[in-house]
Amino acid sequence: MFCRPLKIPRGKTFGWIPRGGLTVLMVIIAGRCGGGCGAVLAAAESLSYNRDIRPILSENCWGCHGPDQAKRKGGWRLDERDGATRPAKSGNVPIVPGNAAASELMLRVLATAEDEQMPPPDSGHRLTAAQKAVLRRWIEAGATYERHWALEPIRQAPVDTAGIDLMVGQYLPRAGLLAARPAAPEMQLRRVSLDLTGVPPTPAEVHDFIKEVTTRGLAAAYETAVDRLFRSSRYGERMAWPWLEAARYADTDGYQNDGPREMWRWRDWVISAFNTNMPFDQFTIEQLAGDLLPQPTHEQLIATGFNRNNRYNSEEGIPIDEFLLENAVDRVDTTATVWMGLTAGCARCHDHKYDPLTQKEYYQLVDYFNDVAESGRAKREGNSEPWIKTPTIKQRAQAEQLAEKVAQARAALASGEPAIRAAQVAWEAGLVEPGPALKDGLDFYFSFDRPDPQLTAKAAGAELHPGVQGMAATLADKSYFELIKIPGLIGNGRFSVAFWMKPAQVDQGPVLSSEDAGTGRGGILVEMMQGRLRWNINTRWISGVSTVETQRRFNLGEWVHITLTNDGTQRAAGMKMYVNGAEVAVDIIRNTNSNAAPRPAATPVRIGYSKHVGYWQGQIDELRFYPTRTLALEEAGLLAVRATVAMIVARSEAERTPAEQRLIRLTFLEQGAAPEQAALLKAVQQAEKAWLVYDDRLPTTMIMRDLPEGRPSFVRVRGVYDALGERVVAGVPAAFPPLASGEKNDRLAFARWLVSPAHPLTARVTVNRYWQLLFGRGFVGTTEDFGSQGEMPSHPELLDGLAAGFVASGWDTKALLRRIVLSATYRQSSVLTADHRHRDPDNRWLARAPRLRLSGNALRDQALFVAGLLNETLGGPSVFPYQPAGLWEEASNAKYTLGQGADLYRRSLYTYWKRTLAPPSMALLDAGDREYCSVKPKHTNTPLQALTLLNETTFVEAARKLAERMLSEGGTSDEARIAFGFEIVATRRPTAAESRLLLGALGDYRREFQADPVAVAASLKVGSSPVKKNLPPLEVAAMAALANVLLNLDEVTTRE
Amino acid sequence: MNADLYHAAFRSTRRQFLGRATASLGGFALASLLDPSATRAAAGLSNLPAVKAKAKRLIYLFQSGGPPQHDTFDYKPHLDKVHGKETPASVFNGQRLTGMTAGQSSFPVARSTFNFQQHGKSRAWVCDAMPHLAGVVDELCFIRSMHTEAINHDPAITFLQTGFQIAGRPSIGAWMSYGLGSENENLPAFVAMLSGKGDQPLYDRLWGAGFLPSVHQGVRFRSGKDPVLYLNNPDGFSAGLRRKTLDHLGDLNRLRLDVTGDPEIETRIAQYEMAYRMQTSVPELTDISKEPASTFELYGEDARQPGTYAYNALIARRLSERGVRFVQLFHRGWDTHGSLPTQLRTRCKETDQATAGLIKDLKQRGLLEDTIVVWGGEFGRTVYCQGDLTAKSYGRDHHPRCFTMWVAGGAFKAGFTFGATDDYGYSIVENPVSVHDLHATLLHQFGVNHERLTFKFQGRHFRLTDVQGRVVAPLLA
Repeated sequence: MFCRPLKIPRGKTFGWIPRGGLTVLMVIIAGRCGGGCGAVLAAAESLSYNRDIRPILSENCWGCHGPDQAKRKGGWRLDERDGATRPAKSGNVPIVPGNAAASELMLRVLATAEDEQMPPPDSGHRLTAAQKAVLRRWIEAGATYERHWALEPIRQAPVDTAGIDLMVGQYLPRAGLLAARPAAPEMQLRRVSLDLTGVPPTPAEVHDFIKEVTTRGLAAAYETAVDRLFRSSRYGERMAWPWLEAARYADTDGYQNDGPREMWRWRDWVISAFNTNMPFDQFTIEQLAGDLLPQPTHEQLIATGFNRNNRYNSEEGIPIDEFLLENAVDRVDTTATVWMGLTAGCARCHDHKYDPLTQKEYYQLVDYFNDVAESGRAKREGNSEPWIKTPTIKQRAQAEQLAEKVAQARAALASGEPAIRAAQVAWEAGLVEPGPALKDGLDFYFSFDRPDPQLTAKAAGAELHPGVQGMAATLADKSYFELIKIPGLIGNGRFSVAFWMKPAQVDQGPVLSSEDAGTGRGGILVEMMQGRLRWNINTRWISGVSTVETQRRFNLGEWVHITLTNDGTQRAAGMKMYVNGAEVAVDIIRNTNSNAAPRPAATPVRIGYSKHVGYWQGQIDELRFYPTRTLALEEAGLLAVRATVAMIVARSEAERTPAEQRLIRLTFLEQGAAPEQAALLKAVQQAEKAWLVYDDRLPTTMIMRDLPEGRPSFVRVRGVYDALGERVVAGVPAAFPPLASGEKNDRLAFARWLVSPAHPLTARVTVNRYWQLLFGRGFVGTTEDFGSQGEMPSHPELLDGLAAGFVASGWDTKALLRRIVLSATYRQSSVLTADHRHRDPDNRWLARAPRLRLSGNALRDQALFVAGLLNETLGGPSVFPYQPAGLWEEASNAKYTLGQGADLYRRSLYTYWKRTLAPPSMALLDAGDREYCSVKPKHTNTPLQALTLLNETTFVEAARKLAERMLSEGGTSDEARIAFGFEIVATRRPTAAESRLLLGALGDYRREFQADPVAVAASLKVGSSPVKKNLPPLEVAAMAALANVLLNLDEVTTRE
Repeated sequence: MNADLYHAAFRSTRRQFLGRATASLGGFALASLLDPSATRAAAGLSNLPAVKAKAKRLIYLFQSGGPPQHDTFDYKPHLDKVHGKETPASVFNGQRLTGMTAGQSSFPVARSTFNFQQHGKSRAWVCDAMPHLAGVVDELCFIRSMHTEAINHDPAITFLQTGFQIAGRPSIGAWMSYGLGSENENLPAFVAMLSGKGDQPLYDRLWGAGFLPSVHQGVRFRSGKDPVLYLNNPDGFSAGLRRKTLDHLGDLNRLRLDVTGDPEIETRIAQYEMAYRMQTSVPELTDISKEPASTFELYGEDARQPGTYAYNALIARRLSERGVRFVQLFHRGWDTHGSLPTQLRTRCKETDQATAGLIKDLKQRGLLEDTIVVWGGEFGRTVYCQGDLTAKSYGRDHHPRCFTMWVAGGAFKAGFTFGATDDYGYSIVENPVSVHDLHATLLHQFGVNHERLTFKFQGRHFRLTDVQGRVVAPLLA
């Protein structure tokens, strides 16, 4: 559609917008705009389909007569001109262009009989007389349809700061409004500081700013201040918050037990991306598909955590396929909302009722996100596959240092060689009967060579017969050996088991078991299964099991050596199987192990029997348990040496295999060497252990990584996971520009498609969100919905102009924000006049700046900041600030352990976010839920928020610390101190009236406390920071009460 | 412009500026917690109720974990005959099992070890672990034919509470607060209380507001010093001092109001005053020291102990008396996978007397006629045994196909049983009632057409009942 040039009424002023700009303005807006030009321009003359007709049809008709083919009634299709002008099933034509009287649509809309009337009376929809009239006029005028504005390409030229003001200005006369005056310089600084960094300016910054205003002028001083704010690392922290809410970032999995996960490295990646001003297209590609970039960096992999932030169920009884689908669906819905403002989820069960997205197309989008190498069931505690270790730079250096120490210890051992060798030769000569080698971590060892109180034969048939080395446990019939309880055989700890085995049965049967008696069968089970050896680690049969099975088969009556090692990550991939000293290929049979954090009590180990499986026949010898160690390949090789040490020593060196040589050397160092030589081995072992312990604790991050073979995607009938429909392959919806040709059609191509200049939505949706961040609402108020049911943009050409500029600048986010915050529109006063209240209470037309209550996180950060308490450490693991005791414990099995010291005072974005029991003060103050994607903040005003700001420990402690600052830094008189405190929180001096009021208040509080010394003492104990020395307690208490008032002032809790 | 002039101008129209939360509701629903004097409280949606309301309040006794229907109310004598035998394939009828028992090689039928008797004029069957409840069966309307779509706790309890299995929708109490507002100026419209321990945790989404404005989220009442979060003044901060600070705060905010002209400031001042009133009204509410001995005879001595189910039941009555629209108790620990007999007996001991006491108490106060009481969990349990079946013990896995709930008061039929299951208590054979049906029926009793109680979000008019639900008329008196 074409927008008419504006008729500017003569004699009206434009506030402080320069008159000279109007000509330019008219040129700009005379061009084709992206869509409807806003209801304010709706006048009697011409109708716009997108502005005037689409909302009526979409809201009232399309539910039954729209894009959803399955639900379409009577063959009426009213969302397309072709459909609407064709005869319906009844033979009647819904719309006859140019002839309303002949149009069935009008007849039905005007009908009064209940069975004829449309929309049907029971639908809950009803057209007003005005809407009916508009429909009639539109049909009479030819019933022109338009594509939905948001799907049209962006055709606007980029808009600069001046253009913003001109374009906003053009609407004001129509709305009967004038632009406000500029806000006071201090207020401008406060506003932009809060918006860009999340904390107010300090009095010193205000002072410098005002000085600069007087010397260089407001414009230059403001610009300098803005650039300073952009350079601050607080900027990245502030911008990260809404992104974390959009990305449903949290520290727990969000279902049932809501187990912990570790994604803070992703959170820190976001902060850093904002601070380094990563272009938004790169920001997009790395988060959605960084793993598919050629040779992705560590950081690019971390970025893909965006789509691993979704909730993920660890509940035991879940059907895996259901949650594989839910995960993919969440990724699609979140991605569609964040980048496209598209309510894609509506097409999960049926074709979208309002927007051009069929159900099939929805599952084509799902296919982009359906290949993740995940098991479908989350780990109950900790990150779920796929994940990688993600040390910070500092941690990496530390790990390298520890690795270097290992190398040094090994070198030292090697350098002792001639002496060690000589000593070994002497030792061999006098050797009698050495103990078992590889003793490090060998807590339990069964040679079966002699009676052992830790070993009990159960039933006839369990006997000791010659084995590989001496005697071996031998099982016939239904018999078994029971060993003592052995701890540590569980998925979330490192352990290894090694033994010789000679099967008399290979079709099935439990070789070794250590299982709880209950149906959960927690523990391990090693069993023969159709010739192969299968190893299970159970948390809970059958829902929490990791199972691997050798690809090779085993022969009856053949001795083989088996080593099983687990790396404590609860993954099947962390379970290795060695046969005769070589790692063998395994198939992963199950991969849903998921432990509770503490290891269960040890259970007895049984050879040849499992209560749940039955008996096995064969021989086991030299059974070793390393309950805390993951043996390495080389160690498995040593254990697989068949000859005993005595036998090897009896041979000459030339007759020994290399493995035998190494075994003898190790035995010597462990058992025969002089202390200084033994110490060399110990040093190696200790260095390795230190490195391993450190390495095990390094943070990990869940990332996107696809199964090489992918996973087939299907339409799910009615959205139900097990109702498979047509198979689909990845693709973008037909209503959008196509993918770039010649590219592989994968997630990376999809991400690139989103940020291709031709994409109609990404730039608009993103710019709209930033506008919302700065003005409280976007041009499109329905931030999450740019479809037919969403709002039309208030300033379409400005939205498009900013979007065009954003793309043209190389998706430069700081430049976009800078362009906006430098505008007069942004910098105008937020005072409301009667005109504002009557004509534009929602401030859609921006004749004033909005007053917005600060978000919960910003309120907390501000309180800590003005109190001098804020700990500005950047990034790191999440922290546990104050929250009322018992809040978690009463509702769940989780325990909240309050943080200590400086951790209590970190910025709120570092607060540990338990999804099912969110941080209470944040939840009360309208924080996004984090269970799902939220892109539109709520702004409510409730008494529970008042109670929070008045009484929550952080705010009370901050008031006291602010009071201490007022007393120690604010001068000596009450008046000066009050002015000092007031300026810190409000960025201005108090007025005379305010000052008088506060002075009186302080006097009142002082009298209250004078009468109650116990109260003084009690009030100073709130919070864990000590009271500054040498301050009179009474004064601190009284001033803290005053500071409590200051921190609750509407002006202070609001960004004006 | 002259400040006084526009001040006067907006005061006359301040209703329309009652906070941005209300603006986003198209001026219909008013947050229950908005200043009632300004809004003449909390009328809810102006186009509701659509039909005459029979109920004004609801107390929902949520038994979290899934109480076993075979061992409580759905008596199945046939099980004595088939105890220990494999559950016939014809009974399963191809239904999915949870991942916990899908791997079981055997599915032996477990009879209930509880004794059943018929009670009251209505001759309703109740197990012997609920002697008190057995005494009030003539007030209850049993629905033996409840069924749900979810088979695991999180999706199932989320479904019961929000009408959808995945997080993100408003809870039933939030819908009621949004649609109906509050009857009390000093208390929230929706209160949630937790008790018990067990494997299954609870989540704040169960009383959350979803996409509705956060004023509608349930306020969690807790035992101990702060029944409502942050209700109490900090240590050393007397009520008198708080009053003074609020006066000063109000004065300063009014000065700012004069400068900025933002009516939101008026709302904020009102919210601080409301907070102050809550500081008085909530302790008065939770102070049970003046309850007579007869109260504790009714609810049991546990009711003296904050944090217990019995205490919460008593507080629920006190809240209802004060016009709180929706009170929901959550009692944990009904997830009886193993050792069912001992576990169930303990849960019953914790809840039975107080539940029955609440019914009697509401009745004697004349509140039962317009207060609905709902009892139930998120799903039923299997007829077959999970784990080891011994003479004394057994367990039951999750079962979505049928379970029993009961409703009382609020013009539901009293002494009535609706719906029936097969001899195995496995499938419904008569009058199935879905979760959406239950929700639709509850709303109906409040005079609300469940298809009209909608909120537009993401371009769609969302309902508690999603796209389903019908009022189950036979349940209604």
